[in-house]
Amino acid sequence: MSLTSLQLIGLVAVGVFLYYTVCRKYQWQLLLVLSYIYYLASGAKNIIFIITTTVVTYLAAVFIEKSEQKNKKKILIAALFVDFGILAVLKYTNFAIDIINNISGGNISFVNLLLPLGISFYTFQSTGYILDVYWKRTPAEKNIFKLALFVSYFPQIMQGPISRFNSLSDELFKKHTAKFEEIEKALVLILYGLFKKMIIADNAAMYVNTIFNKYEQFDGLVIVGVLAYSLQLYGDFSGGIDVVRGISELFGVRLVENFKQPYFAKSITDFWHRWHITLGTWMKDYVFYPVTLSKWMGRFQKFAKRKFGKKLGRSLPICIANIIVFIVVGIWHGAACKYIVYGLYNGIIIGFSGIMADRYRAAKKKLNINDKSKGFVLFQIIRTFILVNISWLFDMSADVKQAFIMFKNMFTKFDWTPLFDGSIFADNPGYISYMDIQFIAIAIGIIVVFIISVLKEKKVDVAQKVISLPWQVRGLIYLAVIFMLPMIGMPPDSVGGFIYAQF
Amino acid sequence: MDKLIEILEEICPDADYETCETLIDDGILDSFAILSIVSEIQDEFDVTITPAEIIPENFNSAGALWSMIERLKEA
Amino acid sequence: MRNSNEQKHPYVRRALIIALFMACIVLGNVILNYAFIPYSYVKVDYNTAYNDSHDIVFIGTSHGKCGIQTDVIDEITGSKSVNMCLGGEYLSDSYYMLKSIIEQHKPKKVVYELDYGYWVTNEYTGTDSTLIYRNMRFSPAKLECFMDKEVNKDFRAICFPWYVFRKEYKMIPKNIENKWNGIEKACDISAFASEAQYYKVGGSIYRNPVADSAKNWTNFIVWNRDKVVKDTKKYFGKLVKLCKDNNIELSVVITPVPNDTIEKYSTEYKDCDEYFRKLSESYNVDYINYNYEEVEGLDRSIKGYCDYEGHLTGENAMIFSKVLGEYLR
Repeated sequence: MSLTSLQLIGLVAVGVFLYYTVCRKYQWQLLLVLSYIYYLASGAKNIIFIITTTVVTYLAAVFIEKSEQKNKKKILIAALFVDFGILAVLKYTNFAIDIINNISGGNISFVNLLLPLGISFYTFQSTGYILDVYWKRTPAEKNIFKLALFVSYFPQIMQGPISRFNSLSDELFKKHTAKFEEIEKALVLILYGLFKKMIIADNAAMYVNTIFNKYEQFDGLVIVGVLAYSLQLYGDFSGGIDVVRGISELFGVRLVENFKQPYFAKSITDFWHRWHITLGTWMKDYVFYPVTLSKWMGRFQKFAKRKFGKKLGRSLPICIANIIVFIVVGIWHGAACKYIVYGLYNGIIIGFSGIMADRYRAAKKKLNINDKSKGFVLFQIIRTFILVNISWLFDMSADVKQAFIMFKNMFTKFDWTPLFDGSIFADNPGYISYMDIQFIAIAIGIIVVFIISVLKEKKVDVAQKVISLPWQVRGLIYLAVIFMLPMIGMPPDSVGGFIYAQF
Repeated sequence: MDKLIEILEEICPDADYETCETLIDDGILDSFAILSIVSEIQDEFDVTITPAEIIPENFNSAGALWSMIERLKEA
Repeated sequence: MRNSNEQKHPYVRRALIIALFMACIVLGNVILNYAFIPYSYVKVDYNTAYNDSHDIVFIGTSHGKCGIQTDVIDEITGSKSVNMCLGGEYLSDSYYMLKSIIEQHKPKKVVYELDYGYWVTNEYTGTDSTLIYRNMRFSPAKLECFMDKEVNKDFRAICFPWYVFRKEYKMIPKNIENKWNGIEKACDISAFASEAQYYKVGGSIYRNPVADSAKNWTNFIVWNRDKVVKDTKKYFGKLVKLCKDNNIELSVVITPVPNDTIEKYSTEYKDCDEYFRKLSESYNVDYINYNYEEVEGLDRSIKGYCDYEGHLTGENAMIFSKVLGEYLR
């Protein structure tokens, strides 16, 4: 059930109505029912996996809380093994077969495994919860149905955000009453999300798909392709998340932010604090810290300090852990080598800047650079944006080889004529006459999102500002956006649904 | 406590550790800095810090850090 | 100071504003539908099928629309037929279309003209499927179509039907003209005549010859049995059941493509024939593939076609329809 299907709109509309009227006393129970209806409608067979994860997670948490210290760890490892095991088998079997085939020259055939909806997201939430219980950050949930809702909560199951139990459970299980302003705000958020997805991402996608699929033919357009991909990915993912958060807020449930104007980031580290934030936080809490503070890393750190001196010896293990984290982030994005390169690229940049931080500080002092000055901040933002765009090459290319070829072409070949004479859509003649409108659509999209992003960066609550406008003005804005979506948005058939819905 | 402040200033010199109470919340200490501090504390005070201790409440101020160290020493 | 009425009845005021807002959306939609949605022969096809009872109903794709000439068929079989084939008509469209026709008049025979291209590609929300749904008479079949298919589509395709036509904005003057002058209301078929083709009573299209230089292989879809879409297969089963339940005879017909095409993809066409022959056998449905049947007088060179994919010229289609008529008699 896609986020933009009529079916989902129907489910949410009926759900919201019942939530605030007939089922007022059974709100979270209703959400659980809605979540399972949603899940069943998206593929009934896969329900066994989410139920397994729920039961295992529930039992593990309860027993971890009760058991003695030495048994706690055993239960923890067993539960993580099951939860991650399901994910690994379903998502990475074919990747493993591919690698084995490549190394051995064998020809094992791929297995046909259907990926259950949202498996990456609910597995991460579940394992995070088990670890939180293990570290006594949150008590174990005694009601299995409440835990089932936490695992399967339908707005976020498809593309996150990845929530933590203690923050989401507060929102899910408290009583909510209908407030007109809140509902209007939620609808504004949904509208803004659809705007980003349909106007920006789906229009940009037409260019991205053509330029990346035919990168040899359109080798002079790499810069256009990669910039368009920047737009597409941000519009698609953050737009999708806004729709998700909006739907959730219709039920009064606030979800954590997953994006904070990522293209205004001043460094790659900063970028990961602004882009897919909940994945970054999850990785930090449940991979980065545990790996760095593990016994063997501790031993390595002592060794490194003796060998390389105090500072470098201290930083080296952190860098290694950081690279491990980003390899995991890469693999999370997909079972392919190009994603490992993508992860390594990010990990190495962050690790390097961590080691070099002291030297940068000294250099800036020497050169008399004020790192708070506007000029320097702008330099940092542009530099980071370029670094991020290079990383997208690995994300979007079919394989590592293509990424490197495109990287080379980016600096050596420039030929933008296919963009203006329409030959870029030679296979899709219907679009040529529509191209001018498409350009305008993308331009409007960028301007609107840029202005809103600057305001948000200045901590303005834009949605609140919008709903405080006089009703005539508000009405016109809403009407304009509602009619823009079909008028200049692209149909999903030509570009595909939400990118992150396949994780 | 003086030793702790010394460690903090060595790793991340840009903050006023005597007064600041929002080292994590305001993003003054990033994860890199946190782990560097943990590493030095472990060596200096001979305590073991587990992932369970890495929560904002323990790192938001020099005082909070100090009470964590005290607590871990007793254990 | 605020209007006291406002303070007393904030809900009434709010409800009025929301009602006004919804009215604006409806009004905008009505205007845009009027401007964007063209007068199309889909409407005339339905009109013919709904208003009169027919012995034979042809369903299928553009190959059938151009290749099956109902006047020839009727002359030979002595029955009355209607051509409901359409470019862009997937089997699921055909299924609900037929169901809605059966609700009005039950035919004796249904002929499904099969183009494998629609079996190995995914259905999409295009202008054709939108017109097929929109022009369907309000009925249980339409409701079923809505619940099975439409609800899964992007909400824009349902809430803003003009949206799938927005690329054709240059057609707006023509669309308005057809509606304003009552051409659409009168189902005047002269509006569909052009240099390339004209539309005939009974739903067939007669295509004029095309210069050979204009014929190419772009958008040619090659058969691959691994790419058969599950849902299409499912709808084939549903179609068989629908006909069986209504005591309607069902035949599967494949229209002939040019010799050049068969030669270029001989293995694929053989495999395709085998696949659909077996599938039809398993459902106990008559199957005939005119790529491998003798058709007297048919010009199988590219001259007799408008393209390599296999759209017959009107003249050639008349010859083919004679043979098909004999088969159906």
